[in-house]
Amino acid sequence: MTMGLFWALLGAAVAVVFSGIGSAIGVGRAGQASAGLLSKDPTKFGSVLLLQLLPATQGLYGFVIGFMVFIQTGVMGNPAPLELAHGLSYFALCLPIAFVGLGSAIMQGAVAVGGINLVGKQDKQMGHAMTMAVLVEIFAIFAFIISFLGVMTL
Amino acid sequence: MAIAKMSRLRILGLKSDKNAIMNELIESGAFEAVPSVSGKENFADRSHLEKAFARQAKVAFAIEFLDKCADEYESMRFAAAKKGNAALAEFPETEIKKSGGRKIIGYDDFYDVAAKEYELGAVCDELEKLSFARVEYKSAIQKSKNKVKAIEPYSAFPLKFSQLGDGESVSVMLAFHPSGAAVSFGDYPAFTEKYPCASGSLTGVIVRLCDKEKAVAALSSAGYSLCALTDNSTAEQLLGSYGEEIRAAETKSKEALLRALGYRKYYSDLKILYDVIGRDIEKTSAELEFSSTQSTFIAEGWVPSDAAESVLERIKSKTERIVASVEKPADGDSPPTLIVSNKIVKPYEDVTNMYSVPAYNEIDPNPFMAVFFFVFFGIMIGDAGYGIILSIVAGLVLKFVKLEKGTARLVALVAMGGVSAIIWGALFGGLFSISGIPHLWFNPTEEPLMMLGVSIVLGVVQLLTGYALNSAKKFREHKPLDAILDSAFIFLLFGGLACLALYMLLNLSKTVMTVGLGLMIASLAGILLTAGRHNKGVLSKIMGGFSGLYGLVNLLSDVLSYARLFGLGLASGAIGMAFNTLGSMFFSIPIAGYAIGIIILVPLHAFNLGIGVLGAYVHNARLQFLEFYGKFYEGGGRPFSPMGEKTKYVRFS
Repeated sequence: MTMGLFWALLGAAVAVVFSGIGSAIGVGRAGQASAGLLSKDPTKFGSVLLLQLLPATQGLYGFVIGFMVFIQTGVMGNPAPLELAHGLSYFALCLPIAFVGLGSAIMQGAVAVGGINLVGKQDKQMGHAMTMAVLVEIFAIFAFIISFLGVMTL
Repeated sequence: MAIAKMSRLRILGLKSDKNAIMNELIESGAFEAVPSVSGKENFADRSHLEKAFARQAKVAFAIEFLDKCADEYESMRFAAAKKGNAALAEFPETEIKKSGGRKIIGYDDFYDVAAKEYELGAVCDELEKLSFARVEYKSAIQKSKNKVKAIEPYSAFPLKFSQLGDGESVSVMLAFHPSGAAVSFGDYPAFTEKYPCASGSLTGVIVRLCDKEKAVAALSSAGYSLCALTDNSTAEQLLGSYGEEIRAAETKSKEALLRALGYRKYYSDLKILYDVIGRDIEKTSAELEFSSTQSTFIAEGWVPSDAAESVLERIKSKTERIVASVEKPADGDSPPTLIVSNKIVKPYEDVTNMYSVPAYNEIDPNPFMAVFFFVFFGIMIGDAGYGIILSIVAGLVLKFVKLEKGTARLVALVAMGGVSAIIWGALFGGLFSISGIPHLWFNPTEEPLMMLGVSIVLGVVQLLTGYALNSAKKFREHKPLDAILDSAFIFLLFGGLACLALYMLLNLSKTVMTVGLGLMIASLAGILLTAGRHNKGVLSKIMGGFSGLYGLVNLLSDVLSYARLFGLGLASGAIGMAFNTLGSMFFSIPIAGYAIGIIILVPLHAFNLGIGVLGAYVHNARLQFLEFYGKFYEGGGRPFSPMGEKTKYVRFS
């Protein structure tokens, strides 16, 4: 095992850990708000579930990047020796989805909580609540694209 | 494929025909009542309406009570079965499960129930009585239970409570302490006796009358409380009689429950009755808004222009004594929006309505949006395997499950999305994310930049469609100058960009680049010169021009937003690939390897498909709402809701 490989794997870990934490927080908070609403009106489960799930995607993006690093470094088969600079580059490229995923998921969770409360009061606002929450996600998508393109072409 | 033209229908008729006319209007399903233009203060008799509300509330109460009874019976049965007692009988009823959606019935059933209203009213009365009786039993039980709780600590005291108290020379007291602290009486004689007690310690105390005050003070300072009961019976007797009372009330309550459940055979009739009265309420409140004289009235409302003739014919088949007029909407009217779509576009209407219902005078955006929604849905899933599952499952559900209309439309939307995913999956070589499947066009994982390019180009196509629709809208509003200037330069700009892109990608001659640059410069200059044309004053016109240029930054972010097509499509493919790698690790195990691998792979792929569909739906909707509709769509319309449509439990076949 070379230092380069170590840094690359550290990058994969960071990508999965931070975006995963963000999604866990976002989905968790939205889940609490959903449960509160469902205690009053169980028929809204469908729309509330949709809103609760929105912050889950950031964790998936992080997972994909981590997985791509695994594939690119060949860690699942027989890893080729990796130069330190090369490994550090992998690490650097994992950072966008790690941190943007973290922030975006938490904030999307916050908007989803607001949206769930909104749907609780006004049924017809589902479309608007959803749109507002989805707006937060584009930044995670940009970060994902950069991480993805970088890791794939390195 | 358009927003239906509406006509204002006015019918002048005799009050004696009112019922027949209103019934025809409702059953035509094409009449939305509007308040008459007279706008005078309405002194009409509202008592019928109020009575109808009361009747409906009674029915609603009966339905709810029956639901509650059924739930309670179910849990009783469950508890009995758990204890292994003799199982309670199955339900003596017709329709216990809450069936999804409204029940479909014919008009005959509807009027049958309406005729039975008197009988059903008696059922409601009886249920109401039973409900009150049960509330009383419950409070009686609670009262007895409270008493039992108060006596329980003294249950081991063998004497009657009336024997406590002061005699001629001694006082007999009974004291209770929850944990049993020690009491130190002073230097006076005190006789004490402990009795067994589960919840604390129970002490009988006998002291001389003259020492009573001191003894009471000593007991209370140690935290003891004195028994205040004076009943002429022992604790045991009291507990027995209260227990008897509780059991009797519980039996009665259960009897009442069973009797109430006996009325469940009226359950579905009651639900229909609820809607029968609901329609009565709708009709009556509409009638209150109509202008009327001693013996005539004018019914007024919106009908789709195409249906106006047939509605009038329906009425004329019942009575000839009407005068009707059908008019186009006047200026200042706000007719409701009825969108007429073919079967393919219909499901997409709900997506638009989730954002905002189109205004009456607007271009129907649904056919355009439907195309893009379809294409984007598939590209975001991008897997033929998932597409096949989606379209087959959704198709089977549509065919064999009776769904509410809204749900059915959503399922149809997903089914079509599945078809789109099959097409894109074939182009991309995606089949359950298995690597090495041949592709018709290119593989996005191997050529991600190509995928990004395709996403952006699709986005530009949608944005330009949006601008074109904006021009069309401006032409309809007779503003040809705005129609051309607002969109033309954008088209020039993208034309120039396209030339540059072609030049760079295909190595065309330099003239292409020059033309491209020329177009771009022309369009930027055009925007700078014309964007401020509505402003007053030279300075603010110039400022307007610059802010028009600055607005192009928004356009850039709109275009970039379509990168989500790329992102989501790749993400779902990559997750699938990761899952496949996990699953295939088990394939090397001899004999059972493939079975284990597949058992693991199926739920993983199901999860990926679920997340993928969710993402494809919400991100797709967002692209339509913000990027596409932002360019031309106004919305803010009011959906056409004909009378007789708003039912809670039933709908008509």
